[in-house]
Amino acid sequence: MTTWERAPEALWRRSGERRILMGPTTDEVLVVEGTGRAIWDLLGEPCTQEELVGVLAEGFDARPEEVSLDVREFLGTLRDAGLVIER
Amino acid sequence: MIASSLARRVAAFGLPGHDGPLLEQSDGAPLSADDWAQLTRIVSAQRLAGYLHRAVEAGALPVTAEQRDEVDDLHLRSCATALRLERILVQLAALLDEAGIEFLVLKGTASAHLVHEDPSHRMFGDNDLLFRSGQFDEALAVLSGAGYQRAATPPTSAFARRFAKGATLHGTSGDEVDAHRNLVFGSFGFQIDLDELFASAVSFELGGRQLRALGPEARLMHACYHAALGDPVPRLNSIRDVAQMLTTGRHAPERLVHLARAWRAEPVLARALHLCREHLDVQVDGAVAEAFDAYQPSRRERRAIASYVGTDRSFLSKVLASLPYLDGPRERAAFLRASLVPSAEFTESRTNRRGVKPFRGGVRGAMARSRRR
Repeated sequence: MTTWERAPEALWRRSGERRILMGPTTDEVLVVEGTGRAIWDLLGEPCTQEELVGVLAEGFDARPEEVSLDVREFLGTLRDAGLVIER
Repeated sequence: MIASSLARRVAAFGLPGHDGPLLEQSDGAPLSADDWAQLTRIVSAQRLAGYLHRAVEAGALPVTAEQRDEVDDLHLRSCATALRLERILVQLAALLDEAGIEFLVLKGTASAHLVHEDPSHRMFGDNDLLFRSGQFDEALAVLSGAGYQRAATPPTSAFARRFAKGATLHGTSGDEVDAHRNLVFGSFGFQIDLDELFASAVSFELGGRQLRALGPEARLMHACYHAALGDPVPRLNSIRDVAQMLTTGRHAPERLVHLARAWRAEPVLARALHLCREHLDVQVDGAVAEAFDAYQPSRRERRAIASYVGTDRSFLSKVLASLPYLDGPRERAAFLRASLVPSAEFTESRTNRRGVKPFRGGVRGAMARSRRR
């Protein structure tokens, strides 16, 4: 089963409810909040996409299918920025 | 004056016993526009955005919605700066490792990751690296290859190699790297056991690389040097570093006392403790306070301190104050020659806009004229 986790090369900071992220090949920052912040925080430990969807659906009182697409897209964005890795 | 006293409380926020309301008499009203503008100017200049953000988040400082946005924005921008510097540091680390050059990360980045519970609290504006004296020239060559240029020419190459604290370098991205061969120039620097700094180093992980930094006692000593000697008007961020380390207790007090005595830095620690009390209202207890709180510096030590933070902070003043701290007449003569007899390259670099060399004649001329009398 595929798990997702923060890339060791990722640099980041916490700023209130926002997270400020920087990948290994850019000096541009990515600022995430809301669902994105929640996903980043959960990725402090390796997670499957299904686990992320389950936690977020419960936390935001939404149906898993409503959250699943956003999670998948966001993970793709983080992966493309070198911020997360799939195992 | 409300802004400057409030800035001190901001700088202390989060230390033990310093997590209550920042305004002494508060009716819940936010600061006026003028006071707020002054406060944020000081916070920006002194790199206190992390502590201000923390205080506002904790409800310790009432703010308007607009002021809250300003704090959030300032913190975000400061964090972005820190991340860019860390990205650069990781890239430089790869180059230095490949070249076989040993280095330690000093100050900002090391403090953020090793001293503070959350690196988002500690802001910084440059990278500071310590190199072994024997590798200093090689290190500068690697940094030069990466596009970094020295901000100033040293008086002589001998000065740069044996006596300088280091060199400030500017990168093509507009960033700054302070390359150190010592923690402080002159008097107090000559007493530091530079090999000990590397021997007691600790590791930390950043951006997928293992980096090394000063051990907790040497790190605290460096913070004391920086706070006590770095600026005539001490920087609040520097004093906070000292207070943070002294109160979080990751150092071994007996070892710190030993280092301070071995490095003849008692007056530096005494001054650092005094700054913590005076500027942050932080009283440190325990072995360190017992050893240095009541320390009375000698005349020589007062003169040395004054050369860093007194009214005459000239290079010559530092050179002269440093002489008693050097071992023997040969070392003193070498230091004087390296410091005061400038190379042609240095003199050329100091030519002013009108083409007049400020050192025309210079020390060589003065010595020749005194021989002719």
